[in-house]
Amino acid sequence: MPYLIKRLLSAIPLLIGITFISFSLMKLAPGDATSMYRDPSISQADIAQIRSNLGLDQPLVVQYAKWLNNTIHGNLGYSFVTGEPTSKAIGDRIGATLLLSCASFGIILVITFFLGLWSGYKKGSRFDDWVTIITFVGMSIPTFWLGLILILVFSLTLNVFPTSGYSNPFLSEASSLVRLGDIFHHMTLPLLTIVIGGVAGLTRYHRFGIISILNQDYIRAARARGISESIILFKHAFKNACLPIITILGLSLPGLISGSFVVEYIFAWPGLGQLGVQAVFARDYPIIMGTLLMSSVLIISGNLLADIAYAKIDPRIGTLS
Amino acid sequence: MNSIRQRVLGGIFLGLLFSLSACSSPTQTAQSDAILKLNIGANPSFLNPVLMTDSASSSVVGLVFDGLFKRNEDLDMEKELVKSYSVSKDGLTYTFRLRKGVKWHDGHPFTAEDVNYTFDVLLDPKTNTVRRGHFIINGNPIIFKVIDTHTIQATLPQPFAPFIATLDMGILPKHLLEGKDINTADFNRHPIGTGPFIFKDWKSGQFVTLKKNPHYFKGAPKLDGILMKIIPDPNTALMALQKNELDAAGIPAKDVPKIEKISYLDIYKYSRLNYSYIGLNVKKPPFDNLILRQAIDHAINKPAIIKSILKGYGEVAYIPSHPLSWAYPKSSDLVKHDYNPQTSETLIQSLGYKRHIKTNIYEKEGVPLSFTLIIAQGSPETQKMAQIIQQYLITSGIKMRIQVMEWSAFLKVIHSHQDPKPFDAVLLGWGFDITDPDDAYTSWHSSQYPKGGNFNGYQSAKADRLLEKGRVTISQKKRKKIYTEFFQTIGTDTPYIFLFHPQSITGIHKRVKGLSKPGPAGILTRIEQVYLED
Repeated sequence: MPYLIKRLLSAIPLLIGITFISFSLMKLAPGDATSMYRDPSISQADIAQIRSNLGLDQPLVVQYAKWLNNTIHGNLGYSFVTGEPTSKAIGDRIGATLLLSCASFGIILVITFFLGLWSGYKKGSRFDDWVTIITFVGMSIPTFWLGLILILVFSLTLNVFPTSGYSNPFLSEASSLVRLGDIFHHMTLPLLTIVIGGVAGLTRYHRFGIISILNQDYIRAARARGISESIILFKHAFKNACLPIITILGLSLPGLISGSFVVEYIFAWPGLGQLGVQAVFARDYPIIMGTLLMSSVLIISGNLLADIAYAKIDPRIGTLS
Repeated sequence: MNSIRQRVLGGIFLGLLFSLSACSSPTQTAQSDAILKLNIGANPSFLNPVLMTDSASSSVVGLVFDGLFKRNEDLDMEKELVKSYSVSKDGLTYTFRLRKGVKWHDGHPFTAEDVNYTFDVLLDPKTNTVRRGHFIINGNPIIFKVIDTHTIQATLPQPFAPFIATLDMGILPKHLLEGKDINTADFNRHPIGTGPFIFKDWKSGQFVTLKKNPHYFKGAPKLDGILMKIIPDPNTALMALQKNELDAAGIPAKDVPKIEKISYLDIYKYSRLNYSYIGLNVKKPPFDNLILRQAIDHAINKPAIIKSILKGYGEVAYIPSHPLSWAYPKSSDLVKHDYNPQTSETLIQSLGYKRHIKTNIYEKEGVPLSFTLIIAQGSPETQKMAQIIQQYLITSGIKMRIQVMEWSAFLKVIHSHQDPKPFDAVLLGWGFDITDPDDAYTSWHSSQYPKGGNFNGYQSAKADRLLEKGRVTISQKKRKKIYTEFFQTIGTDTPYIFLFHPQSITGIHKRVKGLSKPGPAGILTRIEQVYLED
């Protein structure tokens, strides 16, 4: 427990450091929210006035201190582009993002785990060859192309899924079960796009992990003792194969909320990826800082959780720390 | 234990997969209501006519709010909330009599107080608006005064011809906004106006829904409602159009032949009130030389660019105006530098340049004739266009380098306050509609350089005089004469290489009827008359 408290306390200066550096980097990028008004008929006086209203004419440290003070008091500010509270802008999008990313992440993990396990175990077999070919093809397909092809085939030609969107606006008064089904119906194609790309990448990773574990001395020793293959695979190799998965889990946590811009853009999915990228292009500082703060918290807690899980699975790591 | 847990977990995920496919039967309910489905392409910013800066917001705002005037399909200002108006002889005082019986969507009556409030908010420095400048003339604001509940007077500091053209901005309800911070008000996401459609719902990043206003002063719309989807990718939007998820969508020029074959869709093409151009920095070499600027203008084949980049959907531009504008001069009055590589080379040689034997590039005193064109990142068309122009120039012995910049970095260069600005030439499209020839003032008047819209440093006493005269002359006939002379000055001085006016192409379902005449504002300008045929 004291270890946990120590880790949590050390996260505070880390967070301040991350946000300050991000804030400075953001300010180093040319332009600000007002430089997006390119219409030459907009008077310079209007632009100067807006900059001063938004506090953009103040020194960097002052702007950061103000942001930090407001954030500590639970106020993440208002978007420069929409005037909406940052917390609401993020809150509106987080549900759709989490739904898509958690579902795809779960499916990818399960599929890749078994595919990797089996093709690693049956290294060199015809099954392994096919998995290798398919994963390489899957890795080479650009996401935007795959997304458009899926829409073309499953939506336009076969007419089984809608082209895009999150929900059917005409169902807003339907029962919650129907609405949930409608969301899943809309989610299938973007989910498939992410899963195909994700499975391809991760399977290679797992396959290699399994191959290197199965070459270990203790597996050979277990075989020599005549232990059944399924016990070797699922009891002895499994725990060790979990370690890289935990690393990936820890690293993927922030990715879960940042969303995928390309998939969201193609499928008009109202997620945080679109919000974040648009905020960067529009220099919408409060939204950028809001999403940054959230991902920093998740990166730090993701690492912490991964470390704790490591210690639980591998007792050696636990005693070391 | 672990393996069991893992299997159970896997089972849950597989179950989820199956439930997903089970849900895949179409869930679209039959709609008896006549709902028009459009795409606005991006999440709106402010649903507030004073604060908005983007086209997605303006599509929604245009249906929910009314202005004092409205620009019709012929680009004339039509009376909207104004019933009649008169102008004093000196051209300084405008008296507007407002329509009676108009109600806000919440039932509150619309009065002159609302108009007065809207302009008060607009002129308040605390409001983050880019429209304040339109109502301040030479540093003095236009003063609005309520005469009675349905009469309002505007007093101008000096005669200002484009005044009426700025009055198409939507009017805000005073009773809902007074005393609130307009920049962050919840009203910006739940707008209430007087327009033909009532705001219903906005799901961020998904859609905006509107329902008809049965009490609309021009008569209830024939549609029951409008669904404005937010589909950012044009390819997806095109497939949504073919699948009936949208009733209308923009068509990229390359897809026109494909869409033309679809029997249930109609295609409309209409001019956009803008133009693409190369802005030359006339404050520094090489483009401080008029002859050289004209030589470049002659070296570029614009009809060929229209054919390859726009697939022919556009027309050649000669001046910073548009053939549909009343101020556009007759063809014989235009200064045209048509494509003629021979003339171009003769002009370059007249400046003492000679082709280098090895590189074949013109040079003078050992300095080759070369410059850098900066373009903004993001549009493959712009990049392609730059490469085509590069090819034309190299055959004429001019070396042009292309530098692609991130949008903000690009704007920082052309809006820098130093003199001369740090660029040679820039390729740009004017993305804003030309509403009045006075729009040229901010781009071409000497006072707008280096701080202001005149980013390429064009300064001409003659152009200044004409621009100043154009904005204080009220008679359109006299103005046309003034602006014809102005456009001739620009044409001769060639501070820009004008390339083309692009066209918009829209695909729309045949069941959508009651369309207006195709014009720069589109085909749905008379939205209250649009209906769906069964």
